[in-house]
Amino acid sequence: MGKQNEMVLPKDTRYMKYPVDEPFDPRWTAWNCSRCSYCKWIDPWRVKSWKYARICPQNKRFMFDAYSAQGKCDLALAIIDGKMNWEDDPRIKDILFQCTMCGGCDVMDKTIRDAEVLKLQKWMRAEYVKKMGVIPEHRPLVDSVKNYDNVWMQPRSKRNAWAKGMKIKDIVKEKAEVLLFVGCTYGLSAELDKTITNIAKILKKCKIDFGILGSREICCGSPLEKIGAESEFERMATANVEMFNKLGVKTVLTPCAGCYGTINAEYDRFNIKKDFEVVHITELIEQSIAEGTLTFKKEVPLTVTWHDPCHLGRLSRPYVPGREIEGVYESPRNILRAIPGVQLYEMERIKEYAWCCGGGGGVYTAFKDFAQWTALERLEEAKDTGAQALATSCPWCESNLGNAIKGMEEKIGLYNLIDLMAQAI
Amino acid sequence: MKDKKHTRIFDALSSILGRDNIADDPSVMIGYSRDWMPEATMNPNPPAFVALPCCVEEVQAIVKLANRLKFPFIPVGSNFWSLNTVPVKPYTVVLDPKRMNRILEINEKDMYAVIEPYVSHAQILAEANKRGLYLGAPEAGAQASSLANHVFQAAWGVSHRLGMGYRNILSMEWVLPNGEVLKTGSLTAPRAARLWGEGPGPDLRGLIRGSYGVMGGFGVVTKMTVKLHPYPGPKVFPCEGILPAQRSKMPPDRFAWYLFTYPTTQKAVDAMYEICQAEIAGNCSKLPTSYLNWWWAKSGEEYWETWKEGYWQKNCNNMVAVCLWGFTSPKQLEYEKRVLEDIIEETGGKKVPDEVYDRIVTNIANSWIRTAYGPRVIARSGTFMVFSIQVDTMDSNVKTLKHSADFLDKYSPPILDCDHTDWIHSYEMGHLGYEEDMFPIQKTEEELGSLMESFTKVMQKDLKRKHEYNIAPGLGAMYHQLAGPVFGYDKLLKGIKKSLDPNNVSCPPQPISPE
Amino acid sequence: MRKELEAIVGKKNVLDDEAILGMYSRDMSLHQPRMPSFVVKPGSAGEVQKLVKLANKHLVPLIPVSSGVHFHGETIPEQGGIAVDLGRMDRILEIDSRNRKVKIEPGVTWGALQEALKEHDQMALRPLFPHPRVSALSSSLERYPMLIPKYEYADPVLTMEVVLPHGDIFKTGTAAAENAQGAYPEGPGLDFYRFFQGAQGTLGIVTWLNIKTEYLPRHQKVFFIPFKKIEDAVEPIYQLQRRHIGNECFLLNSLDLAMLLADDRPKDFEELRDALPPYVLTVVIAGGKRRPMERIAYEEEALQEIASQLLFQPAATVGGIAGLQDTMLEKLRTPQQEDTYWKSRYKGSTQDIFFIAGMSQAKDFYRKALEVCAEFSYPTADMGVYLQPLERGRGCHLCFSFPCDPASDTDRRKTGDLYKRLSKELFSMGAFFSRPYGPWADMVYTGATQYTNTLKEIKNIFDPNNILNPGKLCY
Repeated sequence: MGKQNEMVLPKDTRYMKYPVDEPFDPRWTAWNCSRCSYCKWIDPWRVKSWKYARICPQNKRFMFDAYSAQGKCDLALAIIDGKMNWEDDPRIKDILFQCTMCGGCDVMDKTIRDAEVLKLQKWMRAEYVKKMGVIPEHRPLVDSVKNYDNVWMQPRSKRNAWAKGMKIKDIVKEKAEVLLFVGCTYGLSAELDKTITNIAKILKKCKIDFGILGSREICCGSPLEKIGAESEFERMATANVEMFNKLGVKTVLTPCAGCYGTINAEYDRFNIKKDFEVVHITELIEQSIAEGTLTFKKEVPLTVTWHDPCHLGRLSRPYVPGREIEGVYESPRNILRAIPGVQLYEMERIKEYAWCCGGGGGVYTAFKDFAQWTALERLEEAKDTGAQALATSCPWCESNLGNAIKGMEEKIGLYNLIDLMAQAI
Repeated sequence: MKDKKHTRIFDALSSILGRDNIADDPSVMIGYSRDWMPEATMNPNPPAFVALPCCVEEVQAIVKLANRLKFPFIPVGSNFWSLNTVPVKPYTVVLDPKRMNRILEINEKDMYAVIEPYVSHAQILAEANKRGLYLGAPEAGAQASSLANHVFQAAWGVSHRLGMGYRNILSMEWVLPNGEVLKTGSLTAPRAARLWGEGPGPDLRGLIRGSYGVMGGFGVVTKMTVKLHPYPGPKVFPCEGILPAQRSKMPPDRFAWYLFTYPTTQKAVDAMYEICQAEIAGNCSKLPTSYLNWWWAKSGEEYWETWKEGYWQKNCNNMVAVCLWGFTSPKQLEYEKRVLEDIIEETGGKKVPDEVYDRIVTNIANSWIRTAYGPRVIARSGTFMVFSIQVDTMDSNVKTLKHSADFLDKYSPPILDCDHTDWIHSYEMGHLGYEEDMFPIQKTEEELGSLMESFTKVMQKDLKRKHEYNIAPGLGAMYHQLAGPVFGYDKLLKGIKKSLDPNNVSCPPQPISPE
Repeated sequence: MRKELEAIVGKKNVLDDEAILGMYSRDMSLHQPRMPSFVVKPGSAGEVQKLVKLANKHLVPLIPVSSGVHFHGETIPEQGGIAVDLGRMDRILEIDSRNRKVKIEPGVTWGALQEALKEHDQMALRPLFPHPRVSALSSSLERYPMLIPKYEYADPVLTMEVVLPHGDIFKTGTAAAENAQGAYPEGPGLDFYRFFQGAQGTLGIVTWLNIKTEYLPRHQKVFFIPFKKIEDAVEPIYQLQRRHIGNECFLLNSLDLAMLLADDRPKDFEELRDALPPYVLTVVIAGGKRRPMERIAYEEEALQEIASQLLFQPAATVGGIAGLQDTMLEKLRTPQQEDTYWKSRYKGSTQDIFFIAGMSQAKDFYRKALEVCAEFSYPTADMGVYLQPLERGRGCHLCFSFPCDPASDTDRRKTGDLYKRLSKELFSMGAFFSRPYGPWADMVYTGATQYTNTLKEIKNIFDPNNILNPGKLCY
């Protein structure tokens, strides 16, 4: 019997200390959803206007509560308890996969409780895929990675192309302190050649001893992880870590937010020990500026707002209950502030509570309308700051936002941070 | 089960709303299958349809259809910790107001806002703050629908001045269960400004509230004019840090928190009376240690380790939290500080240590101005329950809490981390007091079922003595069936229900079964 | 019937003398007189309850009467019946200064209440200098505007005991619960208390009422602020209210203020009216219970700050009137001794048109009033204007007064026609008549179909025999 001043503790000790190192229990996560609706909104302390108060693109767009972390908790519970099956309702596919997996809901939920509601959604996708197969819209991604080790159906040899003539070390043949993990998009997209070339030049300027894997580089697995192709993801993750460890790489530097977040935060799931640290290009550049190895000589008179990519920000660290949702928030901002002539304006939803660009979670490939809708909201938010341009440092963000800008009447400029910075060097 | 009637209803709703704004897919329905009540938590029950109306015309069309085809509807707000929103009858349509999410007007001069149902408190607060105005937000969280909160409870951290939600409602537009649109207050006059809520003549706002409103049993409020109030705070709520460890400090020339303890609840309340009679402050509450820990701790581990070490219990027992607001000028703030210091000294209050003060004020306190992390209460054990909520005088509240303590002591299975888990707020400058005792329990069928059984027995016993604790009306029809005859309103309530809802389609059986 | 009535209230409390019936057949309004058949004076809720049951038995209307004087026709029987004069029930049942509320019976006047509360350092939230025989209970229920707009609410009503039209005694809010002190108005069930407000006694007979009280200031400073036009006062009022300055705050034009002040100087009424500025805003800055002078100091400083920004002059007097601060304070704090209504002293009676509006609309309504006065050849200099800010200036109670000679048929007719016409015009401009007395009821309820229908449904449930004050409002 409970009495006043007698301390009674929960029988279920998971409430007392979240078992972050134990196998994930999806039912417990779903069961403990209290329907507080935090997953649909940004934290109330942060709301600065009526217009930019929501966090979840899926819920804002499709409105039924099923399209939210809360709704998916209910769905998960029904599936786990045998009240529903994956094949019972074709709309389940829509609910699960028309979601950018941005983790906005996850951050808000973590403000309230020890839980991994994004992990639950990933579990749901993986279970769905196990039962129903990869959804047709994502099939090309999986096939591409199987056949080409990249998501763009490009031959492996093409990963080398941008580096031709730049005299960059082949890290397999020649040791280097830093592995520049280019990523599929920077490595294979001709449109982004300029950016990756700029990165290489900047690294040289900063006298960073780096090498690349060239055509041996394989996909980090991020898109596969997002679309529920877990076994494929595990294959890529394991292969990568084994390769990096084998090569004695101590620092993996990447310009791609997706690769950064995935390698840093998701690879741990497979209990493969990483013998290296992961660094994003903006972190290194910030450090170089601070040390004086990178200086700016020209002015770039521009008002800019910064878009926090989800994988560089809130999704970039493994979960530690109660810890701040850390991410690479300040490095890009410090870079922008350091560029002469640039003025930084902040959007209302930033850092760990930023609105997604719309390009993640397989949505860019499979649900173009939704991807564009999400992007347009972000661009509207950017324009409302009064800034002339939006800057970011993620190729998926850039692509998706860039596509949306094309359809806008009153456009806003869009820059990769590296390219913007390069103008000042 | 999709029979002919189901299809007929679905087709008619599609025609009213457009195909995208109506759903009957099982995977969508499951997202509306539970509410906060133990029964629905244990045994979720999905509706047959979910509709997304965009305006009063669509709501009206749905309600008229419901009367014609005889199916029930349940209006929800944000559906955050909703009560009695799970269907009890077949063919039920949940009306989800997400497309009715606009702030239609903010009149800065006359200090009101006109809102639709899916505007959150945080949204209207943010817009109000920009204009030097404010209203309240419930302790549960400002992500709640402001309109729905106003017709339900609306117990706010700033109710020391603003009172309970019923005080804040001005004119309304509302679709009655018979499908007619009722406008109240100054909306009844063709060209009058929306700024007044009363009348004309007898005030029909009486229909939409009681202790807990009517749980959707009298139709759907589609627009509400709410009061806004002068606010000396900043245009943007000050906030820094990274979730979940964010911090807030209000401008020191206009806001000042005081935290001081007493040896007993009664002494704390006596001090609160002095504060109220001196007519100072914007917040004035006695807070319990467990709540402080709920709001402050960022993880379960942090919560339970801090609790076990007795940090809050040692430092914050019977703690009164007062925030002084300099509405008039910084000099008002200085004046009120002097007055409060006098009161603290006279009543024997003991200020909390600086470290504790910093911890509370920086991390928690301003919750009671913008939002409190109510849902954190859930997180540390699975769920929480409330034995009593009473709004009356603060002295009444103290007596009521003794009754709560008896219940909590005897209850088995045990209530977790037994501390006197109650708070008392001054409402309307001490004319009223609000008490609530929340306690954590585990979210198991055994605990919830057993609790409800004990609670129901106590409630029935209390009703026999004509005692009321205000939480019980949150049970809706179940309570009104029992309490109605005791307090003499059952026939009136049934009569009104039958009259407004002849086909019993509006969230049956709320607020009372007409049979 | 007489015997049955006597059995309930006692022989001496049943009256049917023609002269007495005549007194209840009319009031200070221009409403057509109508005679009741009896006047009864119950002394308790139990007696009221029996009267109600009797009325249901015989289907006889009952008209509850609490005040000794009425101004809007609300107690004139529309369909005959029995006037239930609650004046014998004149006890102050409880003064709770800790929780700042007072429990009063219907016959308690503002003066009696004021005097009793003074002993406890409390005051009630009064309207503008009510007639000494006006019931504090009924004017609170009827939502007379408070002089002090600094609270976030406009009405001080808490809980009540009411005899319902079918004869049950019902208590609202936590007055119904044995474990409470009757402070909280909501429930049980619905907010039934709202139905009895503004109801003109049609939905129940309230036998006691808890209303809020506040600390009676011992120190206060009165400021008078002159304005040439009504619109000049609006922004200053907005700012004062926004910054929580002052307790009482009300705007009167020179006519109204002269009528108010002239009781001490009846011969000086015209002189006063000429000496006073067109409009005077009275603001009382009051010290609180603690450190009163310090509160007065910071509020006064803020007042002066606003005054210098908006270029108005708060002063200790206007019109060169000596001792005006003391005079005003006395009027505010001390019950009136004479049995007259200050507004009636000019011509014998006054007809008031009042409604709720936004303060920024005041000038438009005022211009319309002038226009209609001209149409009816009513001298505009004789029109009183009272603007009462409500709820920190959210809105205002705006009142145009038309003194008239009750003994002159011509005057009555002309004023009556002006009254009806102006009311319609104002209503069509957006004036909100939240208290629809007399001819306003049709005006208001005709356009508000659903509100009217719902009210009728409520009435049908509460009072199926329509015995309580039938013919009022939309019933």
